[in-house]
Amino acid sequence: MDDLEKDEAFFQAELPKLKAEAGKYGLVFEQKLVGTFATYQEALIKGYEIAGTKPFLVEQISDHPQVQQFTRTVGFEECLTLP
Amino acid sequence: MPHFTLTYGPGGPLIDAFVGISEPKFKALTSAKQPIPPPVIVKALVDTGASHSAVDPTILKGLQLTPRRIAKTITPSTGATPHKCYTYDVSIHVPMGTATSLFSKMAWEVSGLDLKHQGFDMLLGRDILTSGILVYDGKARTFALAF
Repeated sequence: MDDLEKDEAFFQAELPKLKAEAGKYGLVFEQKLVGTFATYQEALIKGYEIAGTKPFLVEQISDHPQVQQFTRTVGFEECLTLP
Repeated sequence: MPHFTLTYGPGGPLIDAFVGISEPKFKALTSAKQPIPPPVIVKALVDTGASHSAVDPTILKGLQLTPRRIAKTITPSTGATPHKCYTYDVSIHVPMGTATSLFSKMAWEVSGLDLKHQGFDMLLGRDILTSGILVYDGKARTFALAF
């Protein structure tokens, strides 16, 4: 599991505690929640400030599982294997 | 409201867009005195069937981007079980002439999906279209975009 996968797993585990902040963006660095931000851009600014070029995660807090949908067939070469 | 009308061909409604590193990354690289990858011009398909925008990995690699999160993704080939897919933070700029732009996003999340073999580099999805107006005139074979 790489650093981003660890941060993703941490974020998913923290989500139930963050319900009150739904709609905001969570910033995770080294498996710690740095904070929540009103916009994607604000979270990125803080992320680059503390992590520089190291991996960090920014993800919107939502009550519902967020799934991206594409009606067109696309390739998954850059993606991870099955969950 | 900035807008343009274009004709479409067999490939559907395609526009030119610039994809670059996000503004926050630009500032971070500038502060660190690291080289800035220049924006890349891409062919983008306006796709109301895409909930989110996506960019081909070859473009993202050229911009030396690293993934920002892991998104669950459903396509016709995945069935009901989502695949996991990396997302990236980018800037998106759609020019309109030389001096103005249809829209600019200084920090936007896109998925990295293999698209190039279909004749374009980017899907312009509903996450962006939701802030604009799209008119598709099948009889005239034109489409109009306004933001």
